Amino acid sequence: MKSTFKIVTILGSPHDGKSNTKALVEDFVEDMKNEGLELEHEVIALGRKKVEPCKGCWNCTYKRPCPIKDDLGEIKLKMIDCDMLILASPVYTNQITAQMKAFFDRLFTWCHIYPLLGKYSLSVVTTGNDGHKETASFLEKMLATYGTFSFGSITSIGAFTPGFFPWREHSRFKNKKMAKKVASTILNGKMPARRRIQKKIFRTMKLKMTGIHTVNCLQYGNLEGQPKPNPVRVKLMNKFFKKLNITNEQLNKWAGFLAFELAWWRDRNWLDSKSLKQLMDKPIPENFNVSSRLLNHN
Amino acid sequence: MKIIAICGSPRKGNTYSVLDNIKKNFPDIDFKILMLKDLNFEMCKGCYSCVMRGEEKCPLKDDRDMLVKKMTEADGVIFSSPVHSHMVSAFMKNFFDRFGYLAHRPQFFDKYSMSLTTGSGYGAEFALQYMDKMAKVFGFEVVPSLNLNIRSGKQSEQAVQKNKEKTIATF
Repeated sequence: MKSTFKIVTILGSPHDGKSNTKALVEDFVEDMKNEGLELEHEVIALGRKKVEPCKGCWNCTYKRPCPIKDDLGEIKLKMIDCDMLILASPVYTNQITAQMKAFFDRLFTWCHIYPLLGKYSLSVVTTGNDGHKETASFLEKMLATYGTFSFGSITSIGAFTPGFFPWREHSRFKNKKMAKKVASTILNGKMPARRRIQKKIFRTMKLKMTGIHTVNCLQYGNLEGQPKPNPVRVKLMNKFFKKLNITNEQLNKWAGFLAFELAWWRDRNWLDSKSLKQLMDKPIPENFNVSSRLLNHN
Repeated sequence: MKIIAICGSPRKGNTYSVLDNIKKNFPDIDFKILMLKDLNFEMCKGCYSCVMRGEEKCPLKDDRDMLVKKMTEADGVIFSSPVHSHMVSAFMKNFFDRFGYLAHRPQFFDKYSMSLTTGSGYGAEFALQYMDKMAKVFGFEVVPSLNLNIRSGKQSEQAVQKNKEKTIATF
């Protein structure tokens, strides 16, 4: 156990000082501190940073630099360095804010490679009176895609206008038990319980990456040290190609699809793992530098 | 008949080509495509003025009023967006945020709307559900939505032809 525990909060609200969501997060973290956990807490307010919406150019998956230059790099660095990630957003029209959505869209490649595998996480949602369930489930899904282990979500209603949060004390009282549980889990060095959404996302992700691996192997031949593609799948794919009249040119394009992610999965020998636990147990290869790869490709 | 399509895509790619195909297949409809990326449309500041004091008090002076005018003139609206990380794109999300006051004061009761997403994997159903829900909240009469699973423009033409009956039924 390290002496100081780093917590980074990504705050989706356009406000910073007046934000009710920030107030809820800070109350919770203070309660965790009172339980005896030594921690550093930093709030990154996306409203005060410059994060532009994604242009959809797909450069990042083809290992080319991102055309947009803004504050995303430093936010990424802080997310890689932290021990616990908190995603916090108010509810705007039944979902997260547009600022938060722009941030997620820019981290497009991160959805396929489990960049923050094994970190703790938590989601926080405040709302006036409705929509917190949908928003919380979306944030949980994003936390699971990034490979983090979530303690669950804290939600609070009654956060009406910026700075007007009459439910604040009530929510703090309600969340005290949760803060105690989180702090004791971290102090004991344990992980929170596995969630169903993590299993579901692992299944989807593995299907996706092995599919592209198969197409790549069909076009360029099998690679040494990598698992051979499933013969049943190869047969099905060939049938599918014939049915849709896919040309060789299109197949070449398809094989190069998600190049960054495929290289990541191959270099970490993840393609033959059968569960999230197996994936976590695999050691990181010596010549594989996680943070430099995550930061440098765009 | 006048139909306006709001496209939340950051580029003129698959979503745009699907809309373009619909336009070509229905020449008798006055069909207009609005790209949100081309408009002067800033991100919502969350000041709550539009709900508390009226929508004309918004501190951001941009193309929002023009969009409302066009939506009021039209008979139907198509909300279309690619799927980005299990949800609609950031442009589309910002569109809904800026019209947050409509969720409290719905006004498009005599109009139809359709949702359309394009994507090549997971998450389209969540985006569609969300857009349908928001359209209902704004007061639209929602017709069955269209989800296309495509990767290239060529396939989109086939997909539109395939879904032509469905599209005709919706109009």
